[in-house]
Amino acid sequence: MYLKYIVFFVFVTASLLLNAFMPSKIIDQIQMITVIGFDATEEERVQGTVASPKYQQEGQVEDFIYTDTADTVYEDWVKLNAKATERLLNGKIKVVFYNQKLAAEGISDFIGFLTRDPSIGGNVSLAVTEGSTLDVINSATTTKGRGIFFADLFEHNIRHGNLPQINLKIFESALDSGTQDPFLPMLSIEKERPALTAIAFFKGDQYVDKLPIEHADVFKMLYEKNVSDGEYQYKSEEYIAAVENIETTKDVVFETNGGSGTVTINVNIRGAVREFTGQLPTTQKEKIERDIKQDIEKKANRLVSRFQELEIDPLGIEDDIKSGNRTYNQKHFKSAYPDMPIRVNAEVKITGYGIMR
Amino acid sequence: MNKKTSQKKIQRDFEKLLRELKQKDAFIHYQREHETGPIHLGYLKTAIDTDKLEKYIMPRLQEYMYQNLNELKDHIPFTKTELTDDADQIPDKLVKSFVFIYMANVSPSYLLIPLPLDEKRQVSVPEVEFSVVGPKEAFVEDIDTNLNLVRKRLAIPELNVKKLRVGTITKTDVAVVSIAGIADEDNVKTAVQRIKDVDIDQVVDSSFIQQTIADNKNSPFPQLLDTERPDRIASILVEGKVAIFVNGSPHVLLGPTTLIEFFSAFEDYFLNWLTASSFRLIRLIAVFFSILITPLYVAVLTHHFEIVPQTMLTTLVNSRMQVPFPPIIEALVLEFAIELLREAGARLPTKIGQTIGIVGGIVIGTAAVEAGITSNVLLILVALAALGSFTTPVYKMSNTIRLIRFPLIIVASVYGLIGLAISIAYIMVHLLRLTSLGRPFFAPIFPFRFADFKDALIRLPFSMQNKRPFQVRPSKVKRPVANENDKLRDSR
Repeated sequence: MYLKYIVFFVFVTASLLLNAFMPSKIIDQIQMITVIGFDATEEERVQGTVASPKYQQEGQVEDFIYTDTADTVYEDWVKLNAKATERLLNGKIKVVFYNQKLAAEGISDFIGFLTRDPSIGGNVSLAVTEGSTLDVINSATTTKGRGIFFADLFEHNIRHGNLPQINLKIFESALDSGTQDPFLPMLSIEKERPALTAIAFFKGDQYVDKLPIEHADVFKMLYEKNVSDGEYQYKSEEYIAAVENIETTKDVVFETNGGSGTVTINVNIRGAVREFTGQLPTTQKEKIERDIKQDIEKKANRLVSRFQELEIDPLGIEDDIKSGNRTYNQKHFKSAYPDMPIRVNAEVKITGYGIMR
Repeated sequence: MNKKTSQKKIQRDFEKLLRELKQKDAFIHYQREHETGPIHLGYLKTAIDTDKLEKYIMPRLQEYMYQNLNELKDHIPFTKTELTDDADQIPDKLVKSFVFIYMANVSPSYLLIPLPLDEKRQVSVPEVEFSVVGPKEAFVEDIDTNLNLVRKRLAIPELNVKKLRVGTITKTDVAVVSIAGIADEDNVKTAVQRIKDVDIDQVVDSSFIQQTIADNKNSPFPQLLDTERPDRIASILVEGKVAIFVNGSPHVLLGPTTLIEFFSAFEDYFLNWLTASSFRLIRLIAVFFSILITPLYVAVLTHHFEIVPQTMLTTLVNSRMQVPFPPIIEALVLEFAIELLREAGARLPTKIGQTIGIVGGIVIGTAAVEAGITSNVLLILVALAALGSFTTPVYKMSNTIRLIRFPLIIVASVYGLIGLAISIAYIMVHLLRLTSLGRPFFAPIFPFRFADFKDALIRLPFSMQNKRPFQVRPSKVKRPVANENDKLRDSR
């Protein structure tokens, strides 16, 4: 009767003893890669640069930066491990950079290793750098570690700035969907400091175009289903207005009246005027709303026609139509897309003007 | 003729008895002459109340005119006196606090008077289950006092007390108490049957009964709740549960119980239901925290650096920088230190125990971190885990919680979170299979009893406690609790 307990006990003890020296990844005996940069090179396929934090006393972090060239990512890691004092591990990758040249050649080969490794999550920021990734990584000065530095840079811009929600998972699903083209933030060095300068648009996995980040507000309104804290600057000869705390809702309507059909993107915008250079804005609410509406529509239409010229669809219009339309045919849509009439219809509502004394 | 020979035999037996008894240290023998012959009085000094003897027996013996023991008996102000001719049962009676009076040449020739020495502790304030509000009486060691404390609260004829004797040598009184018509007969029968089947030489405390009648004796979890509060016993009797009193023990057992009942302090019923529910939840969270936090620390730091938030890595790595050991050694050292402190505090007298707490908490903790044996973060976690285990109202359960942490820490260090998940699943399966007096121990979570949740993880107001817990299968399920005003308001 007690045999089963004895067998169980022996089994558990034996398994614990036999596995007592299983390879472990003790937190202070490894080097965690936090930032990776990939550059196109002449001889071999890629130059990989990694930053790995070394924790100093009193909460300071100093990054070790290793770089080498190889044909595959893991081949590169072998070379980098030869330089590192501890084992380099992928688990804490926060940011991956691709330089513009490599991005133009296509980056899907250097995304695969991220999605295949179960220790890497979906919330990894990807970005394109204008120059060498090594320079961008080196240019960051921080005591928290470069991983946190860049991740924070992207995160606050996504939450409150002009950068739409983007990470590895969203990029990957846009790439694989076949109905949408991905985009990434673009970094460059401004006055020896890394700065978010543009949004890079991809055709498939190849970089084709960019939009300066200060003009990305309209893109964000058109791309996101809801923007919860956006901003918008209106400039004209007459007056300048800064609209903050913008909340938007987007809705794509597809109508097939013969032909290839027309697309209307309805954007509903609510925001408060926080900065104004004309007369008292409260007296001319309708005018401001009308001006901003026309401005947004103009900019939006220009952006959409630029996408149509490049035959890319970062807004995911095809995706919206596919999910809401039975007559959708991919071949048909792809051929019709460059000339498709796509109209943007903005509804602007000013909800407040700030409090003035 | 016959009578005379028997009288002679009795006299012979008595002389033999007296010789034997005089060997004993504590035996006191008193003899006086009487018109019918000598009268002998004997007792064991340590077994009887000599005050009573001198106050009530001796005057009667000396002053009153009597011809035989029957007459004497009628004038002695004690019940349960006995008359006998049998000398053989005298030594047995003497150790049971009797005084014998022997009168030669009359029959019956022995008068036995019980004069037990009532050495018992006063009913005092509960120390283990202290509560700020509510009654402040605790059980004592005497079973009759304990039963009386409950009877005071439940002065009803339905209160069913079944007395048993357990222990081949100690012959300890055990009482199984329930309320007829409310408690399930099966539960009572199970308890009585199991206590009858106990074959043990000594029962010194209710823990002996608790362990010998447990459904699964190899389980680290206690399967009967013990309490020192008579108010709690009265309350659970009304709920339809069964209480087991053991003479000599200030802790009364109750069953069938559930795992969650171990984490409900009786004070919960004295507080408003919102406060009580919150405190109960805090206690349950503390238990989970206490069991899991050190194993989680070990698992994550040894195998799963991925799941540590980036900002926390700095804190963790920094605090571990000086530590030369892997997390498992670090954790075991600290846990061992805490257990040492607790054990030292428990073994030492209260006043020195407090000093131990200070020495351990401040000196050893700080020194261990400064010496680089453990990390700051782990020190905080282990201290919090220890604190969490002390929030459990039942001492025996809090011991269990501290115990099951150790295998989890070892498994976590070898297999990481997977091992931890499997171990917890194993413990869960064990809990699912456990029973208390044959009723499911993990109720109301499994088997799922939605109605019983009214007094499990949270305690709902009394107006919603209108059914007795289904887990104990009470004979009478409904109970009146709603206020008349509530009823009026509800009907409107």
